[in-house]
This record gives sequence, structure tokens and C-alpha cells, in this order.
Amino acid sequence: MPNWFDLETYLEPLRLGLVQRGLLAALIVAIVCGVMGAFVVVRGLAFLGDALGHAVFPGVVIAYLLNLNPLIGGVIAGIVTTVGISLVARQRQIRESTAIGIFYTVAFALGALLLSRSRSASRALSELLIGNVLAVRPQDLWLTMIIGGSVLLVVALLYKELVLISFDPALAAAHGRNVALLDALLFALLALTIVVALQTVGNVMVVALLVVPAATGRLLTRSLPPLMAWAALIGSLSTIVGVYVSYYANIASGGAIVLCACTIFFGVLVAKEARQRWIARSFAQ
Amino acid sequence: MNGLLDPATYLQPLQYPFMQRGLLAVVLVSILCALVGTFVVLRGLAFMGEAMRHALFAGVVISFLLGGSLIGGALIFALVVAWLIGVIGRRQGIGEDTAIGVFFSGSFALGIVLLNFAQSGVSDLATILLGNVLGISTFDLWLTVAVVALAVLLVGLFYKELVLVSFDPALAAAQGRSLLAWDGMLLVLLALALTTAFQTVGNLLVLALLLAPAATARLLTQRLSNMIFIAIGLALIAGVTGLYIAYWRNLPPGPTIVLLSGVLFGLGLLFAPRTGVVQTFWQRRRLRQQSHKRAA
Repeated sequence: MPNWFDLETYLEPLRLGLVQRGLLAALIVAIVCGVMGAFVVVRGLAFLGDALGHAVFPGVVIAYLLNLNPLIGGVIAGIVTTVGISLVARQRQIRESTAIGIFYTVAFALGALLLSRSRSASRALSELLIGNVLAVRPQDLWLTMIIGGSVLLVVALLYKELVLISFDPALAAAHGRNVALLDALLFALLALTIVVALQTVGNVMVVALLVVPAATGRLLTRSLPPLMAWAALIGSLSTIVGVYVSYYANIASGGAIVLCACTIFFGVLVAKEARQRWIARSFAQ
Repeated sequence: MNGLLDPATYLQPLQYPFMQRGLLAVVLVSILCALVGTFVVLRGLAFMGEAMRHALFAGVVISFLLGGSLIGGALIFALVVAWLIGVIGRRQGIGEDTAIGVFFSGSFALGIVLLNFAQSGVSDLATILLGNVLGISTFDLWLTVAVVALAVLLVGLFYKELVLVSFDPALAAAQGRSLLAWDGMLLVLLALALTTAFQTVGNLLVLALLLAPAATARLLTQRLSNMIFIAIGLALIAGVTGLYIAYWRNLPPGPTIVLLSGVLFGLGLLFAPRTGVVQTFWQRRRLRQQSHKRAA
């Protein structure tokens, strides 16, 4: 067990290239996830985010088998799935949540079948599923920076439109905005975010990085820009703690990061509840 | 491989005990999931199922580490999480959707981290996530039989109440029925189905068995009793065919079964008699032609 009060404990891993790269990639992912997560929480898109996290899987596998960059395959699969879900959900008989559940499981099954054909399947599968922040290669880091940066740029440029369609789609339509197109754009940005986050926290826990920090932010504030800032901050903090924990304890990095974020969420939740009780009691007196 | 019409093609794999047990398990799980899935689809509990299956994962890992019954531990964990979601979603105004998201990611991450401490057994992540129906034990098979019997009994006894609660919760509440009790029963059934189907198609894909056959049946009929039987029929077709294909082509059975249920759902979307894409297309075209004729 390392000495947690010694500064050297924190500096030593940073001298390693793989830790530097992993930490940097994870921080970028945490910030982008914080910003996009704010939209996810405000609009109640947690299930869609979760489904997209699973549904990009076949795309990643096909790209992996064809020796292409997995990010490209993932983005294509994510966009195909979103379009499919919205088409099926137009059927009056099928709820959107049912459509989401069917789509992502079937897509995932397809990915698993394709992967079972390949020889190095099992290891690649678990890497894709739970991610490994300490296996980020330099070219992955560049891609993460470019894609993450462009997601943030698009959100900044279209901020007013995206907020408007999130809170009041009817008003947005009345203003002559193309709501369907903006929605599609938001979902595409979500797909990009998820694909970028794949490597750090893995397929099954992407949604956690989207939802948990933003939900914590939601407990702290109601307006969107501070919510994004809180979410990015909490995500980054969990990421840093998670990377150190997984470095020293040899624990799956995705799990460590998400557990840390959840601890912060419950801490804030309990604190808020206690404060409300305290205020209520002082009023009663 | 013999011809597809030769009975020996289908009987030959059945001489292996693992295949007999696997087939029996698939049949039982298909019936259970289609039955419970019908209510899940009608009541819109898909996301709750998603949360529960994540909680089950943590439950399985924890009970493995503590050395208890895997299924028992999983069941308790799933029910506790379902209860917490209801409580927190309502209290802090963060919305049920977000509360579900937080809980399932938290419990899943807990499972993944705890998995590091397991030396063997469940430490094979791929088996937990994708299932292995051909490795089912005789004890688990008997447990599955018991669960299916219990589910059929519960649905049979309380059919009217469950239907009312799934179709019109507001009316049920107005009639003085306790929503909490009946919704609670649905959640228990859901947890039972998820836990049992765990072994067949794995944690990641279990939702497909619940949703796909029931949703396909929903496209084909409007009567609830028909919907249940059609869903069971579709689930059996996908399950048994999938198992055989997986055996012949040496594929993992769980994903094969799920992919087949997805194909059936897709066919339903295209060709359903009243609602299918093809049918509506022809109807629209005919209407357009008629109106053109009238205009001319």
C-alpha cells in the first residue's frame, strides 16, 4: 500500500508516458461528458445514452476486424441506431423506451457474434467493455482531443439553439428553428462523445460518466452553464482519483472512476437532504 | 450435417446432456420472459429492467464473494435498487430517468471493481455478460422450473389486477387499488425473469428476451390474452431456432437468440397486418389513387 500522505506517491506515476496520456485523455473525456451530460440529464436521455453506449459496439467490432479506426465505425453505428430508434418509436404501439431496449440489445448481440469469429476475441471484448485508461496510445490521444474539441466547439456555437430545443421545443419551432435537425445534431454529438469515452471507461460505463456528474450538478444548481461546469469538475475529479486508484490497486479504471463519481453524488445528496431538514427545523422553531 | 428436413438433424444434438438441459432452459426462459415482458412493454418498464439487470450484476458478484446463493443475492440487490430508485427519483426532483441512470451505473461499477477480488468462477466477465446456456447446472434448471411455475401462478391469479395496472394506472388508483402493491408485484416478476434469464442470454442481452417478443406481439394484436400467447410463441421460435443455429455453426447461443428475436421484430414492423410499413404504404397509395380519380 503506498503512503497516501507522501507527495511522491502522486508524482511518481506522472513520470510515465502511459499515465500522462491516460490522464489527459480521461480529463478531456470527463469535460466533454460533463457538457453533454447536462443535456442528457435535463432532457431525460439517460436510457438513450446507455443504449448508444452499447449500440456503437458492432461498429467498433467491424472496424476492429477490418483494421480500421474503431472510432469511425462506432460513430456510424451510433448514428444508424439513433435514426432506427426514432423511426421505430413513430409506431404508436411501441413506446420509445421499448424501441431503445430492443435496438441496443440486438446491436450488441450482432457485435458479440461478429467478435466471436475473431481469434483474439475475449481480450478485445473485455477491453471494449470495461475500457483501459492506461492503454491510450498517442494517436488515440490526438483523436480524443480533436473529436472532443469539435464537440465542445459545436456546442459553444449552437448553444442558444440547443438550450432552446431542450427546454421548449414548441417555442423553438415557432421561432422557425428546425427542431428535428437540431435534435439529430444533439444525438450525433452524443454518439461522438460516447465513442470517445469508450476507451477510457469502456462500453458499459460510458453512460455513467454522462449521467452521474451531471446529476450531481443538477442537485447543486438549476441553470445550465453552472450545471455544465459542476459536471465537468466532478467528472475530472473522479477521473483523477480513478486513474490513481487503478494505477496502485490494479482495479479496472472505468469502475474506479464511476464509483468515485457515484460517491460524490451520494455525498451531495445526503448533504442536501440534511441541509433541507435543518432549514425546515429552524423554521419550525 | 444432414438435410434440414431430416428429423435426425434435430435429434442428434439432443443426445448430449448439455444440449438437453440447454434446450429445456431456453424453452422455460422464453415462456417466462414473454409472459413477464408483455406487462413490461405495456407498463413501459424497459428502463427499470435495464437498471435491474445492472444491479443484478453487482448482486451476483457480491454473493459470489460472500459465498451465498448467486440467484438469491442477485434478487435481493435488484429489489433494493428498484426501491431506492423510486425513493430518490421522487425526493430530490432529479427525475426518475436520471435516478435510474445513476443507480445502475453505480451498481455496475461496483460489480466491476469487486470482480477484481474474485479469484475464479464469476471472474469470467464474458460469461456473465453474454451468458452460457449450455453450461447450466441441473440445480439451476430446477430453480428455473420453480420460478416459471411461480410466475405463471401469480399472473394467473392476479391477471385482472395486473392488466388494469399496466393499461390504466390512474383508473386502478381511482378504484382504490394500491398501485404500490401491484407495481411492486410487477417489479418482483421482472426481477425474477431477469435473474432466471441471466444464465441463458447473459446480463447484457437479457432485456431483448423481455422486450422483443412482447413488442412484436403488440404489433400483431390488440387483445392482451392473444398478445401473451403470440409473445410466448415468438420467444420459443427465436429461442429454439437460435440454440440449434448456435450449435450447428458453433456460435455463442445468447447473442444468436437475441439477434433472431430482433429479426422477428423487424419482420413484424415491416409486415404486421394493420400497422406494418408495407401495409400502410399500400393503403396510402390506394387512398392517393382514389383521391386522384375523384379529382379527375
